[in-house]
Amino acid sequence: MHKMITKIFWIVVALLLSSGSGLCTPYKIYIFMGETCPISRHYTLTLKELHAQYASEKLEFTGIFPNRLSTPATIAAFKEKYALPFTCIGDATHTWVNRLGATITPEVVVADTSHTAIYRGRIDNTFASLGKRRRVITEHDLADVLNALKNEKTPAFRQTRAIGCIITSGQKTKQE
Amino acid sequence: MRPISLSILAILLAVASPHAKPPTFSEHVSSIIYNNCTSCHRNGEIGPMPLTNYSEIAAYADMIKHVTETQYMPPWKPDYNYSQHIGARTLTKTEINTIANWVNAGFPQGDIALEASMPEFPTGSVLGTPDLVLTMAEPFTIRGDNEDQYQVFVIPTHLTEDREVEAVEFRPGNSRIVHHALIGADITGTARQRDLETPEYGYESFGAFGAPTAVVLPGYTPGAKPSIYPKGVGHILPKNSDLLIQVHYAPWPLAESDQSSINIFFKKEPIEREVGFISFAPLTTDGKTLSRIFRVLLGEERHGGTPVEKIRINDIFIIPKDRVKTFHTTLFINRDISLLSIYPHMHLLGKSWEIYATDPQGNRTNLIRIEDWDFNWQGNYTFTQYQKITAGSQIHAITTYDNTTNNPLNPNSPPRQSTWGEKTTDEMLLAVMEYIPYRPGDENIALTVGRGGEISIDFNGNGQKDFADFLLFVQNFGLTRSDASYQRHFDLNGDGHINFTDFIIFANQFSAG
Ligand code: HEC
Repeated sequence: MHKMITKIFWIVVALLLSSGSGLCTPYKIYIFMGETCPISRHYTLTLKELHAQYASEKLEFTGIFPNRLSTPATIAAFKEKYALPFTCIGDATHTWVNRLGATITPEVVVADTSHTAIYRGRIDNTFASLGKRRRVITEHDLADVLNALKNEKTPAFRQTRAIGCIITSGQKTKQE
Repeated sequence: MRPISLSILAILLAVASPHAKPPTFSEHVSSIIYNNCTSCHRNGEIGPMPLTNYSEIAAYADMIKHVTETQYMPPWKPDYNYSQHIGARTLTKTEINTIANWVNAGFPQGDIALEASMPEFPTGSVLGTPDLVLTMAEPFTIRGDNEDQYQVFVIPTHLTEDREVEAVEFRPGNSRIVHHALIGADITGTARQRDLETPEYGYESFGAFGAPTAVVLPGYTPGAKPSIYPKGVGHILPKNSDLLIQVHYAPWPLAESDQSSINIFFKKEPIEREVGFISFAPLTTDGKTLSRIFRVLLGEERHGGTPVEKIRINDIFIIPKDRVKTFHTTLFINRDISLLSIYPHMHLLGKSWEIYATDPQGNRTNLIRIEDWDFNWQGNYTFTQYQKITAGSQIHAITTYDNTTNNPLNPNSPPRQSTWGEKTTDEMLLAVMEYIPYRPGDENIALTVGRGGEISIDFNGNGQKDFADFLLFVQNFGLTRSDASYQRHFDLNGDGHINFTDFIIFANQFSAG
């Protein structure tokens, strides 16, 4: 009887391990976005594709909205309008911004469960600068990271420059 | 004299004092944003984030500082110090610094009683009741695949006779996605046929209309007011013509739709000088394209033939891969003409433009310079005044194309050789100019936007342009549309500011007597 229970225990463990993407460590993909930031809006299509291709129990996408005017209602409206398939949360107090070191929307931070970043920056190189949209995208930075993780490789930390709207850091004085 | 020197002293003190109070939103920044940004940045317009009150503007404070310092916003491509065009969207150095200082100081709001009033943004026509309204027959739905889309719509005018046009006003149906529109008229039925051949409403055409045009009318860019042709000057819209509108829809991730319309205003008095066209055009390998462009664009039928005697190009229009290539094109003008506007056009490899005229004595007139060509913000630039080009002058265009990997917009990766054509991967070298035969006095006429007729610097209306007018002008110098004492007639180019550009216009008219 005791042996039987031990056996079942190990079968369950094996099943759990082999399920999902097969990764041992879960990773979080945080995407900083602004409801009214045009490049954030632009990337909703790419993010949906990346989500469809890579999201799993071990690769979890979360949208974070750090604009001071973001409310649960504006975030929900954006999520619905662009049919974003992942959880979206507000961050008006910039807890996540400060923890993960984001400065731009859209900017992604891929981190492990201890919030240690392994990638921070742009989704791909569509924008060379504001208003300069590349007609042929040649660097797929986020997809490359996700691909490595999916194949159980942990890439060394990398940082790229995201192009988009600067996240307005806290206001120092509201009244004079 | 005393109050003036006192106020100068006050300004010097304010600038010099290291403990000067930081600018506040209400007092210093609101008028800059409301008058230069809000026309596009409000709900339903093309500007993505609304900038209509303190909290909306403060929420983007750092970004606003960035886009104004880099002069990305407000969008205006021509070099403002090179030549002047009406409706210029630019901030002064002082305005840019005010915004930066305000953001650095933590963007204080200040006393709300001092906030500038919001200018009026008309919901209907800015020109009044149109004589003819032509609307797209049905809504057009964009693909919503994040790619730019260029669709030509063909709208029959049903005109039974030729009509003389004073102004054309494009009214976007969906201002969020309409990035710009070109307007022309076809009398050959070619465009109608192309529309029939495609299943969707209209047909796709990147380079231009994809059909010959009998006349090209002023186009549309967001936030720009339609220009009105001066007395006795205008276009002729031919009878039975089809109006063509090429609408550029911005890259968008959703399939939204648009149904735009066009208001046409006919001349109240007859046209004495019909607007004609001249254009640069490159030398292509087959030579045929060139002669076609000549026929179509150089307006050879108007005014007894084109004033362009010949055209000279330093090289055949081929842009080799991995090369930055510059062309120098020259138009030889054989009679006195007055230029009204200029519309430079190239595609994605395009990098820069410089166009200027030299007269037989070697005097130079700058027409336009665009250092950082942007296909998305192309437009028809109307000079603040007629530009007189005398017989025997040459008009030069220096155009540069970047066909290397350094050009992010390069449609080919790796780069490939490009030449004349209408596709995204092809290139163009066109600068269509509106002209009329010159008449003495033309150089003193200022061109304008909106109603109001010709501008006069005779502000006190005593029939003379004299020192009294100069004093009146100086008193109003520096005022902006949001200031209580601002008066439209001192703002000679109608850009909302009475500033140095107006002074130049003033000085030109003043010296012309
Ligand atoms: C003629 C219309 C127009 C005016 C005037 C204008 N904008 Fe914009 N703005 C746009 C458009 C359109 C975009 C979207 C980017 C694009 O299409 O190039 C934009 C984008 C922006 C962005 C986001 C940049 C990005 O791409 O993420 C900011 C910030 C901005 N504008 C601020 C301003 C400010 C500040 C002013 C005034 C000083 C201003 N704009 C004036 C049309 C305008």
